[in-house]
Amino acid sequence: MKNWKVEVYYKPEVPDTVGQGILEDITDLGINGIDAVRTATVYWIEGSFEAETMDRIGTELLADPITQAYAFGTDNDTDTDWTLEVQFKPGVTDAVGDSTVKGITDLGIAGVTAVRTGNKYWFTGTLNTEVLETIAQRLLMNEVIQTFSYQAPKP
Amino acid sequence: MVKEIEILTADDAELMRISREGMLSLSLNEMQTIQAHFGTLERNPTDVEIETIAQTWSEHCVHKTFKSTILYSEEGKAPEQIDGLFSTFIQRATEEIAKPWCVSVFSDNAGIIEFDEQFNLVFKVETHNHPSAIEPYGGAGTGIGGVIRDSLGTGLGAKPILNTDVFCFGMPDTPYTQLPKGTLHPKRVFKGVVAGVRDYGNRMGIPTANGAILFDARYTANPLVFCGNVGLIPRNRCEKSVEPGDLVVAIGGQTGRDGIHGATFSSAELDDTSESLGSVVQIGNPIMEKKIVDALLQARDRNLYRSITDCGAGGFSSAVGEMGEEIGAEVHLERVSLKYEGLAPWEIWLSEAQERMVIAVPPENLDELMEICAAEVVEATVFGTFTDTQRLQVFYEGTIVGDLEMEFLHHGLPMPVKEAVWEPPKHPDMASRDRGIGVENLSYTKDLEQLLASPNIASKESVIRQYDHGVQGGMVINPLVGVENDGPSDACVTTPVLGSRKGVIVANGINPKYSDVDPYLSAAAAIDEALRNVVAVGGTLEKTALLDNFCWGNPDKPDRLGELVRAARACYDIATAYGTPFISGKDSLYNEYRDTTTGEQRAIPSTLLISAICVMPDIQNAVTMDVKTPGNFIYVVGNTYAELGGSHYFNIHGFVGNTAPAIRPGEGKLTMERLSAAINRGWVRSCHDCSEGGIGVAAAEMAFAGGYGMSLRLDGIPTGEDIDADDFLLFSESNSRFLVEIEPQHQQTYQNHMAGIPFGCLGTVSDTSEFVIKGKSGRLIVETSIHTLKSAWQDF
Repeated sequence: MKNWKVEVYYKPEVPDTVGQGILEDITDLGINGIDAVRTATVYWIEGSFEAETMDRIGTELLADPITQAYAFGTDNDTDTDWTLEVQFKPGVTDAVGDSTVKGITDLGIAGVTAVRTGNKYWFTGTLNTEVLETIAQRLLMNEVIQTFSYQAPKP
Repeated sequence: MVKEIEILTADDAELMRISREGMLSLSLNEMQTIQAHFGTLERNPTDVEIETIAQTWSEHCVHKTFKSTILYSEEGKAPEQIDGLFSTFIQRATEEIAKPWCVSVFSDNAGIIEFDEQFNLVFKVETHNHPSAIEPYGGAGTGIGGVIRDSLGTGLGAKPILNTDVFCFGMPDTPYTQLPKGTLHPKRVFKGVVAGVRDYGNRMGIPTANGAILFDARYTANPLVFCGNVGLIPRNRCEKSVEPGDLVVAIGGQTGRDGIHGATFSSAELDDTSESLGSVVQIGNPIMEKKIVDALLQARDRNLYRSITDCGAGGFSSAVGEMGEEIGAEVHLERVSLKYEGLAPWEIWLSEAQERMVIAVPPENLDELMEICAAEVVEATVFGTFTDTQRLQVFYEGTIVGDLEMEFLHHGLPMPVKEAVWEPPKHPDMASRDRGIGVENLSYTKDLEQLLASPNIASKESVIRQYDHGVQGGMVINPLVGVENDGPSDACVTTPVLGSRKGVIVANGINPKYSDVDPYLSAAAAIDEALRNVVAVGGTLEKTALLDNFCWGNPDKPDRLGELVRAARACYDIATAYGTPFISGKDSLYNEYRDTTTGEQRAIPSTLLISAICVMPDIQNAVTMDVKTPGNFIYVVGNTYAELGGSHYFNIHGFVGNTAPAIRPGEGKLTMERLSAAINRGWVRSCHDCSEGGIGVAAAEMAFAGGYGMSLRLDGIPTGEDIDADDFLLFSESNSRFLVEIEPQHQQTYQNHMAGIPFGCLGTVSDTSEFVIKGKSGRLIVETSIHTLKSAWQDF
């Protein structure tokens, strides 16, 4: 049994409209200094398969081959960005995760036991932990059903 | 796993502690009744039993306020005893109107009316306010999911064909510093709610085609989310029954800890700790629900089950308890399919996990049902049997954990006697700006633009565009109409049976601002508005049914209840006068916010949503609100009065006023009937009702939706009293009024037809983009272009 973490995000040449919308909402909050927001959907996949199979899942199920790319095994982080990850608390219904289990099985791939989903955000610009927590709590997550974690840029 | 709740020895304080800490929302009187009942049984209740009783007796499930006796007093009038608001004002109206096309009213999960030789229509509107306040996306999504299951749980199951949704939010520009503690920002609620409704409706392939969005600061902590669904059901599938020996079968999603205590939670006020009530949050899965619909409609057509209901508030406890009310039922909770281990029996029993239905299946049909479910990849689990014991018996791993008499459960609730008081409020009044200094240069152009841009009137296109309204292929009049498909339609029209010209109109009316003056007038105006919207697109009063949804503050407070009495009384008076019966309804009370540190308490404006459904014989007679051809005449139908209390014109100038639009149903009925006939004879090219912002806003919307200007004069407006003030003529919100567009060739016929009804020619459609209005004295009071007006309206 292995735990895979897959990030699905827009290719650099495709506008990340979700990210742009969030940037507008952040400005609405009166927070300035952030230049760009990029987003990704994160899948935590629990199953007994190897990297080649994960590639198939990424290509055929999770990412739109025209506009999106995926990464697993390594994070798609840069040294200069802040990152924020939001995930469901245990026990909260994750409908997309459940559908992903079915999607993987429908591809003829056996061995998937569970999928949980979440969101990841990369922020370029000037930021501190306090501001990031405000953004998370006011815009990007609901503490009733979700938790978040974040990382500062590498010094 | 099962706890005994020590109530036999408890004193009153201890009883209330049990109710409060267990989140049971039971009153002292109710706790004492339960104590007395178990006293005669000489045992304590189990947690399963007390939870079952709390759920069955919750305001949410049993509507105590609408059934209880009310002692009502009003200044200058003799005190009055009302034996149940529901039976006195709502049900009685329907009984007296006695429409033969009402198939089932107030008894099933939704109301049923006749449609054609083959099908009937079901219609239900629900609220999901408390969950949407805590988690907007999940709360609103499961709201729409829940009301779809109401249609599916009516009769033997209706096919969902249309969703409606109406939202009330706090002001989008609320500063964060003024946000009540523990509440989400109105913008956040707005976005989440819209996304939740969108994702559920779109993914299930149901058009979301009618709705409204309102804003008021008092909705900040208590947003309102009304979700409605219309379904189509074969005429021979409208009745249900349960026989002893039928199997209790759960269909759909697995059971988890989601939404525990939803029924009792929604019967309590929110406070600043509510945000942390994680267990009440429900998350929806529309794909699962779509599969359930697909499986159940096949099983219904093969007659595989005898009864069906949805698992809404109260979960299995509510569903099985209601289905077995007349006969009895026994269930085995360990057989229920669970999302994860570790649930206590009472949690399995009360869970409000979404996307679950319960059906009563004769044992000989089980195999065939299971085959259908397997083919549609839907889980079906037998977990009990209906019996003839008149008891609700709950087992867990062979041990009985709950054993209640159906009689006590469903009829043991002591009905409270409540006090209600109504005192008419007094607000500062606003004088017409037509009088005084500088009048000769006074223009109302800016007022009109400001009204069009105000949040309640402004275009909701950015929201409507997120909803699929074309799916299923039957839409005749969309929510957005006009030459560029962006004008505000009065109502939607759809043909649920493709190929047939028979249509369904769905409309709504809601006017909480008038509640600040008088809830009676607010309720009356909501009915009038819903009916105006039906008539404006080509419907008739004769074939229209109504739904009522009351959202109110805490009804234990006499002033809030007094307002409820006023509104309910209006429902009776106006519905009977128009001859339009109520077929279903719902109430959501306790929409109040309490700040636990300051003790500050705030209720929402008393809000009644009226939803109307009308069967239209021929969709080819439907008209839209956008003007069609230059040179055509614009007529006003219906009298204007100086009624600006609670109006948007007063609102943008910071006033409430005291003269809210009165209701004259005799006049209104005649006007609507005559106008319906004119529309159905093809003499009307476009028609728009006058509501928020009065004639000024209605004319502007017709003009920019059609892409032509207008040249109008206010002296053509028929009035019921002398009005000199141009602004009052232009922006008064009197009921029962319309603007219609008539071709010159039909002018004489139309005028002859309307004889005896107040009407007047207001002006013409022009072939330029100029929008001009002359006041009573002939002076130009509005001078602008439809492009300026439209961009003001769209700038939201």
